[in-house]
Amino acid sequence: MTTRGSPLKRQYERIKAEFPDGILLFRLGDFYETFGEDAEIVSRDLGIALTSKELGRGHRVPLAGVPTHSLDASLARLLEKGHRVAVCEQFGDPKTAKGILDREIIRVVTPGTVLQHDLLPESANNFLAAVVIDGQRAGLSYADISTSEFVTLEIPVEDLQTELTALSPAELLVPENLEVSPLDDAALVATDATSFNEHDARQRLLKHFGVHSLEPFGCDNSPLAVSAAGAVLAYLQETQRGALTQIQTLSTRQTAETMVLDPQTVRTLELFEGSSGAREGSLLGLLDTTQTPMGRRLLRQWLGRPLLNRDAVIERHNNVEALVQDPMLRSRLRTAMHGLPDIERLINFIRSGSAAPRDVVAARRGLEAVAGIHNVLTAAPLPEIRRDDETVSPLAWTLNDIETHDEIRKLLNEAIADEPGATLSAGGVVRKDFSQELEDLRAISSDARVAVAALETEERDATGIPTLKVGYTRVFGYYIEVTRPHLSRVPEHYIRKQTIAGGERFFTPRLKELEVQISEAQQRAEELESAIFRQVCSQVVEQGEPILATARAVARLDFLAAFAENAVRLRLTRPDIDDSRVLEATSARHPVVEEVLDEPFVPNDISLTEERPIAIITGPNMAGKSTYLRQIALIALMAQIGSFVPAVTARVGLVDRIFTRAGLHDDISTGRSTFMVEMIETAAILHQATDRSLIILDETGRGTSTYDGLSIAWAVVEHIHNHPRLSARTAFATHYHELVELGETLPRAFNLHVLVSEEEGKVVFLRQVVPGGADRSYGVHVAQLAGLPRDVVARAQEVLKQLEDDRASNTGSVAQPALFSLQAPRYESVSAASQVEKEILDLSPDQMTPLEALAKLYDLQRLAEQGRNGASDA
Amino acid sequence: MSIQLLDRDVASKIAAGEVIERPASVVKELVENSIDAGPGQVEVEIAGGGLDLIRVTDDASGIPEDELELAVMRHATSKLRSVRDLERIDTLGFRGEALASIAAVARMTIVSRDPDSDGGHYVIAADNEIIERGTQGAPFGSTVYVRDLFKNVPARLSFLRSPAAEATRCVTVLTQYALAHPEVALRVIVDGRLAFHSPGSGDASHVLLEMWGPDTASGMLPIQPTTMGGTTVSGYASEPGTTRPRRTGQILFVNGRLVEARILYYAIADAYRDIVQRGRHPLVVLFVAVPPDEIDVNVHPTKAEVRLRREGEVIATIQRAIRRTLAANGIVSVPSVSGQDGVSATPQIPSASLDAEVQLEAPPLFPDRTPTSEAPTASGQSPPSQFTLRPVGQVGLTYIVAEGPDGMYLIDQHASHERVVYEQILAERREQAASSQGLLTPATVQLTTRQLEAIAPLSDLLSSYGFEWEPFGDDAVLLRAMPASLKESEAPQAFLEVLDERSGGEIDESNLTAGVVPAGSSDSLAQDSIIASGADAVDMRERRIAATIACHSTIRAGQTLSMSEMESLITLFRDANFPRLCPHGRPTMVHLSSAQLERQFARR
Repeated sequence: MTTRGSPLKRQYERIKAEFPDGILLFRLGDFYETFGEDAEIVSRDLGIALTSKELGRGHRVPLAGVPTHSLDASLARLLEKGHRVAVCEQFGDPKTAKGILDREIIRVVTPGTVLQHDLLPESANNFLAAVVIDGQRAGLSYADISTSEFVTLEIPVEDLQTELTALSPAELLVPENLEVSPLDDAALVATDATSFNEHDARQRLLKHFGVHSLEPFGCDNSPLAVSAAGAVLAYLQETQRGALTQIQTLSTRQTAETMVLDPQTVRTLELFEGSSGAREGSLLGLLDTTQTPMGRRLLRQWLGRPLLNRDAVIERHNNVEALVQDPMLRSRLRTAMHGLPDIERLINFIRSGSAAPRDVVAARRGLEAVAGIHNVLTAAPLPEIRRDDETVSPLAWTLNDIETHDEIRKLLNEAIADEPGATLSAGGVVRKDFSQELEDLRAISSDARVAVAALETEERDATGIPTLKVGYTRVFGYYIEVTRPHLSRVPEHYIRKQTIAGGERFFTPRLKELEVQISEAQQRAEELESAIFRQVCSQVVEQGEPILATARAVARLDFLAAFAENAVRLRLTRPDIDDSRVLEATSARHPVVEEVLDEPFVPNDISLTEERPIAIITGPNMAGKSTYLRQIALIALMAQIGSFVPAVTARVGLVDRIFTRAGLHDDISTGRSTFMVEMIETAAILHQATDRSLIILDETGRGTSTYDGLSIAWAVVEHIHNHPRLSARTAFATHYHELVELGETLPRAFNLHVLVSEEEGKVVFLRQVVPGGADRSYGVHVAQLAGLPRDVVARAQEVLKQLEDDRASNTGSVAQPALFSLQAPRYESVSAASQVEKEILDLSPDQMTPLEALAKLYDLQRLAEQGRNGASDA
Repeated sequence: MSIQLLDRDVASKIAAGEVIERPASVVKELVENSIDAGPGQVEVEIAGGGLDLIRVTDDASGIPEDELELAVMRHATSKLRSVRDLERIDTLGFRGEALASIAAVARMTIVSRDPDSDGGHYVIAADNEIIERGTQGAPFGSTVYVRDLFKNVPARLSFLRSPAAEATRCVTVLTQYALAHPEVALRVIVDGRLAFHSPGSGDASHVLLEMWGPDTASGMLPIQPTTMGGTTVSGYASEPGTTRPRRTGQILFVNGRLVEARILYYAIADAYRDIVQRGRHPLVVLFVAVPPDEIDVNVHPTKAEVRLRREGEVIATIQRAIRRTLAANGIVSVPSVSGQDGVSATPQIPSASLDAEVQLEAPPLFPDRTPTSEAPTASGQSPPSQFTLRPVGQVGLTYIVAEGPDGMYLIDQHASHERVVYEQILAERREQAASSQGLLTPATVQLTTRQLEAIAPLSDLLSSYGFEWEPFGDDAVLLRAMPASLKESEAPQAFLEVLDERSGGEIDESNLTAGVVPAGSSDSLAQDSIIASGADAVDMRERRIAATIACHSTIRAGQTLSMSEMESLITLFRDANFPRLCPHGRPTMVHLSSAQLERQFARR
């Protein structure tokens, strides 16, 4: 391509050069066009036709265009695909312009910097994050420009993945020299390392906030946190191309205040997604009874950050309890909050300068609703609760924090019409009687119009033409119409304007004068309306921080009222919180399973104490061990996010971290086997857990052969039990009933088992957890329940009996060696003819897919037939 | 066909039919059973309107394994031992029929676990036979599953309404039991969604809050417990402004049993007479306690009707309790009703209630021709009433005072005129004869963006009412003609209001069609104001437009009227047969009968 080309091509290339790393939507008339590679991407991701266009002489380039009216929808889809998009507008009037129009990028939209609230999911934040790593430490900063949140923190490298999973940023900035494993969903942007340079980053932050030190922000002494925050700021400045008024403050998160939830715990406990991957069936889906978008986002954040501070947890519980005890207040508050507009995002949108009149009206509606909430809070005395022989009023903070913003509301009410046009130019934005000047202008045009209407009678009288009419068309303006038969009586000062069927249209100097008056007044009124609107917006922006503070307080209140509502609806109980190492609950339930189950949930007690922190839970597969384990973890987690818990009574000694090792899954993306993943996760637990942790181990060791698995499980439990640093509260579920011996021999461990009743040779799961170990594993029974053919089950029972008899005769005691007396070589003594038996014994049904099981069954059948044929042949 | 003894199965189905009419009856019987067992919590699940599944779970003591099968048998009960016990029943269920009746028309599973068991025991019954029994995991307490309800009696199925309607009935029954037993935490799940719950706090007002929402519930006044003789009445009574067009908000319990007793409704109406408008019913929750031997609950298979030995005493206590409550809240000045408070004062029910309901009614001499939505009374169609009123004067430049054959009439000059013109406009439209009147001077009308947007879709409708206009600038029109009834000075305003009518509007069609007087109630239950079917959206909009035009065509409040103007208005009003409501649902006329006047002046 030559640089000569057409002027349009030169213009395109100049602008595209400003934005080489993303898609440029280039306004051409009624379309936003894309060219070249951009066009190919747009065509593919939006499913629109790819054509080509001659740009420059004889040079065709691929082209794909988006109609202007569907810009928002197209943007949303492109962002979802992780693209960065620049919108290039045209300026000037195509009718009057000489040469090509001026064009300029007016905004850059990237997945992590979206401002338009209608492009964003209401229930979650949309974070842009930046990561920088130095040795064993990492800096992480993130911002949601739509809500003004801007946070930075410094953490150990090993916690990085966990933090990022919790944040799930839409866009992640990393220095281009940093190797990172790709993150689900997040668009990865490799950024020039210089924007992470600490000195530059610090200067950028100081300049933006207009301060001399970062000390007030709490990150002065944390170079990594400063670097990351600086990179986020640089990116926002680049994409927003404005004053970036949304970002007013930076907070440094203290990681010691909240619990870290690693990805496997989030997954195992199904905090945000149920097993189907949807929000339904998750703890979030169950607990989210918030009424406002701000409350919904806060719940999502806080659910992932359980508190570690006793007083903070108790404070939340106090609030929830007060709202539980005053159902009228709760009901009124929730009614007042219902349908509250997204004030947080609306205010930030107004700050960005691109808000339409209807956004301002929505913000006003939000502020009115907030005033309504304030009224509810002040209408009656706030509820008080008894706490350690003291009466406290936990909700008192709301009266300070939720302000009514009377002045700005008054201004918005007086200045902005209830139903303004969709755009500023559509008019009708300023309320009647707000501005005398505007009313005067409106009066001028309206008086002039009345005068035009009056011309009809006047001119009829003057000319004596009875059918004379005044009228208006958009193209020709006002006219006087005379029908053909009366044309002869038209006075000389009438000037012909247009001929129509049946007559002629005229104007007069007087009519022209009035018309000019009307249009001038309208023009000025429109300008004045714009000016007033901008003025009102700027006053809102001035109050931006206080309004946002109120919005956040409303979000907190919404969160707490939702938890109070949940407490009643889901029959939750306030737990006692202390700094002990106890986790106890009577009649505890799994809140999510309970809701989805077709039959009533069987509650069970939990008791992990300082004397006996380690529970070994035995019982057959499917008996309910996993549910029991998860409900233990959920009770601790729910308590520490401020929720009441699904139990009749509960005591939670604060947990510093919840570790879970459960479920079997191959990590296909990294090529690790099930067993490898399991062992890596177990190793991490043993390295990181403290005596305040809660460890949930579900069938650890299952991923390998029976004896390997059993041995590993044994050693893991012993390690937790014996390691001086550990002795963490631990619940270990296993279907190896051999591990019962651990519960009997280790002093700080104890056995629980899930009751099974045997009726006519079939097992019935009673779902009841009781002290003591299971006597056997019931694996064969479960196989029967699962539908294994009767012959196979019968034979398996025979083999099992034989094995059990052998074992009973071989070992008198159940001391530790007993376990290892069941050694693999034993199989060699089994006659070669019963190859089938050996095959069956080697099966690990839990690790087989139904299809594999079926295939295995066919194998077994074939083997058995072979055995029979072989016998008859011989 | 020879006469034969019915076999046991047929007999049981017939007997069951009397008790189990619909899913709500099953719910009622099962919940009564649960409540009798003294639970802390009861959970009810309903799927497919109750035909697919009804599940009731409680956490009470449970049924021991060896008694489980007996529970399903007819006339097996733990609550009654002899005929003598029938005289003093203090549990909700007692006949021992409930589970057997249900088992006759459905497949039923009972799972129960008593405190001594590790697991639950269950029996499954269908067609009155136990078809399976065994053990399963269960929490303490009992769960009854009822599936395939009425599958074996298709005739019964055909009488049922839609699943949604049947589910609503079930929920209604359950909310009422929640109210009677606020100490029980009740959860109701309909098709997987929590439809209702009560906190189990022991405070009935918390249940009211969940039933009716904060606005209505906060208008409920607690009734101070009132005892007369052996009868005690407590509960909640609404402020007179909180009413409903039907009695759905009146919930009566006698000895904890939900009853529908006409005589008690009359007692309530009487207690509220003079302060609630005709056709509206206050919300009242009453807990009546009488000695067990003074009530006969074994009158009706569903036990909904009861016979009271001392009816008069109960009625008098109810009235006294409500009046005292209203008086204590400054709503009425005299706490007594119907003369004396004495136990002996058994009111003559029909007359007392009639008396209460004539307060704001048009004179009974008039044929009750309250126009309905579909057949409004047009002046030309009906014979003019023989009856006329003589204007006496004007009060507050708003109401015409008139004398008629039975006492005094107060007529709202704007509302009555508005109604007459409204009827005329609708009649003309029906005959496609809307008359249009050119404006003497065409009027320019400035429009907002929204009004501009509204004008195109409404264009035909506006023309058909007689409006003529043309564009007159970007945001203005020139109004050239208007509906003939309009005042020219108000034409632009009416035009604008019609454009604004597009969405919403204050006219309450349900009140018009029902012909009742609304009272500014803020009822939270939308189902009570469901608009009469048949009045589709377009129809509604047309009526609203007609009402707007009528409003701008008529005499205003605050306008001085001469005698002759009053006379001609009364004539118009008479020719329209004195409709009782204006198009916005406000009353047009108040009547004080001669008898009432005499009573007020203590002449009678």
